[in-house]
Amino acid sequence: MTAIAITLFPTLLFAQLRPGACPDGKTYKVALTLDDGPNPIYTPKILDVLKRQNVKATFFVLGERFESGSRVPYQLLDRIKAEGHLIGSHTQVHHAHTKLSPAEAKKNIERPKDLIGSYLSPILRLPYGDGSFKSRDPDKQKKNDTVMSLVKNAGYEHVGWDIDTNDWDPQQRRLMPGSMLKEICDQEGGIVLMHDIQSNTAANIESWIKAIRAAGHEIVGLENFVPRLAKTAPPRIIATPIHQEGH
Amino acid sequence: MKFLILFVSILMTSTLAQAAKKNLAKDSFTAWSETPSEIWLGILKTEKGYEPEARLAHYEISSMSKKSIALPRELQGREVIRVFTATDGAVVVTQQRVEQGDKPLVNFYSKKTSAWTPLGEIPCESPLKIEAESTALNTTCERDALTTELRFPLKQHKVDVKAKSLRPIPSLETLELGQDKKPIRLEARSL
Repeated sequence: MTAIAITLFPTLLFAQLRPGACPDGKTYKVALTLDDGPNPIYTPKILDVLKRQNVKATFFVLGERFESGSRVPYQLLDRIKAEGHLIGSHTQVHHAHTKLSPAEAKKNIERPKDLIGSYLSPILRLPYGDGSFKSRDPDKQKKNDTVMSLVKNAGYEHVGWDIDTNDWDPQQRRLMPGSMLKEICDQEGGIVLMHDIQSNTAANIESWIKAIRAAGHEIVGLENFVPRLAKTAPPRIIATPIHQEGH
Repeated sequence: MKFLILFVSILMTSTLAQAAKKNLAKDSFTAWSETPSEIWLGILKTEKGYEPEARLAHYEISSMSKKSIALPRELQGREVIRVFTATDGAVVVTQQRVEQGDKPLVNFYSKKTSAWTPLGEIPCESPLKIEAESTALNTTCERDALTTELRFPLKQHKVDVKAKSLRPIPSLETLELGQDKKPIRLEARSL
């Protein structure tokens, strides 16, 4: 027993004392995701940071951004894809889907394919995650099941998240990046949720990325957490990004 | 032997850290309003993979009687972000706070009838603060780094402006109640 203790002690002690790492001494993989865009002001700023930091992220975009007739949101999708990021659907309008009728929910899930189908990977994130969670209320669970089958029938895999930065909340985001780093440890890595419609996120994402890396964690593509993406073809590259990162 | 003791203590620390991880359910206080005679609390139960479940709790301080109050179906999935003691009940502000905030809904809960009455929504997804004056809620709203002030009239309902009220940051896990400062821990499922 003493021999085992002597053998394991240096490793455990190092793990406990390693600066920046989690209390268990481990570091984890995380994938960055950004919801609710594209936004003409903040998405380009965030793309600049991602390029500078050589990070590949996933953008869950809202279909309604493409109804105005403007070319700008499409140009942003071109840039997102050209720089090697993934694009998923965040449905058409940011509704709680279990509060819609099944017909309305179906329409809201399917409409983005008409507008931006060629850009989309087969992944979707429901607004508020509504429909994707388990409920202890049988009636609500039935509604959740209906919404999730609509997502599946539309050809999407639902992608949730593990670490919520609460970057939309003016009070909670004051706790960043510490709150995010704690969640990364508690959840043992995973998918990080942010929003590219927030001025605060555009202003701070670079320091958050640096904090993740300083803690020893690795920022990876979403395909590390969604096996279906690893099996599908990588996003079409329109122009060669300056910092190409292999997935 | 010293090595062994140190090893065991490190192992115990790691085990405790593991216990705090991932899927364990967590209850927390999310809002609070206290007068000398009663306390209203917003409570949130979270567990990974499950929808958050919020409820309201009411304490009569003189009798220490307590009542756990479920939110109505239309408020399912929302969190109680503020509660204000009002005449004959409470003004309760809830918000969908998973993934993204929505516009907070304001309801009145009647102690007499146990009924919930919707009063409307505050047009602000990112409220910096919500404070009460006698017959209205005043919200400081943030959007694109700019703040605006919004006033939400409470119709015939009247808030007790002397009540201590709080939106804990981050959520409280224990409270001290009444004159004897009796601590209440949510982990004990005392509510």
